Amino acid sequence: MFGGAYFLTNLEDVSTITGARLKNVDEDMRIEAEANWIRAHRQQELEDLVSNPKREIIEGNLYTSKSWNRIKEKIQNETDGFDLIACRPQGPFGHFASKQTETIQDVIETDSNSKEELFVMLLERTLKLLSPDGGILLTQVPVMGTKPKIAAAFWKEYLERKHAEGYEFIFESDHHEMGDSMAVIRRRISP
Amino acid sequence: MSETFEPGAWRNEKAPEEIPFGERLRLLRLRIGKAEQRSDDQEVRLLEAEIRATEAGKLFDREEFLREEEKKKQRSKSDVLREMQGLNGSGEKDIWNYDGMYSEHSEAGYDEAFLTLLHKLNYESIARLVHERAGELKRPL
Repeated sequence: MFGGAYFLTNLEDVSTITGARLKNVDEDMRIEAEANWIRAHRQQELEDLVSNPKREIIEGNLYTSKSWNRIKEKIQNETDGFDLIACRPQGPFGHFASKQTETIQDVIETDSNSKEELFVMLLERTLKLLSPDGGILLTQVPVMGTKPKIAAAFWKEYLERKHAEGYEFIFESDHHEMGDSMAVIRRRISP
Repeated sequence: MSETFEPGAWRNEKAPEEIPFGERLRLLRLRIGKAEQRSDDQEVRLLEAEIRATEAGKLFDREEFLREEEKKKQRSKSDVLREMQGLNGSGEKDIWNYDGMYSEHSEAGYDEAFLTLLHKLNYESIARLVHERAGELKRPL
């Protein structure tokens, strides 16, 4: 989910796996794997994965609601939410990807925390896709150059609010630093 | 005589408006040539803007120009969002080294990226997490 869904090669334990990205890049990945002399058995893994009928790629822009609606339709058709969502949004927010154009890394802040707001907007939408039966989100919290005081105040208020909604947040480090990874587990809340 | 460290003044250089029009343009072009030799792109941009202002009979304020240039670089959240909404799949440029495990870079794997978290959740890998959760949830596979 969010990306090409290449993070799991053995799909025996999943009913479906869905990737969401601007464009299906399976073919490009094949070419890149060959060009970079990725070992033969891994090329075969890739081949097996991309041809597996359990896997589906939703092509679309996650900054438009149309793409989110298509993902939501997927849930409504099959389950009450995703059991696992994995994404690494450091690329478009950060400075580490080597071939990036679809990125907000060059946004120069005005007086607002634009990157942070975009990240939280996407995070909020993602959390709603989790199954309330212990659905887990694994995500990076991108480095966005947020002032530590602002980040600390945000997380304090945000975590309290989300806890009341049934979400448990587990951070890689105890300091909730930007650049860490975090897991979010969604549980049903009593009415 | 009081001493000042303002550029030009202490060397008794003339203010730009005191230099005849043609001479001013010649000097500016000379300075552009030197800046180009130094590959000083910002200075070239500044001097070109100064030439344009001079030709238009206006005084050129370097600080103001730099401030305006900085302002133009800034994009509001709505600008950014609008741009992001206009994106479409762009093939090669849309491939991230970080997207998958099919890279020889050690940081490429999701397992590596989430290793500490997975351990906190008592799983050794994403595959193990999926396997154990599948056993618990018993979804039709």
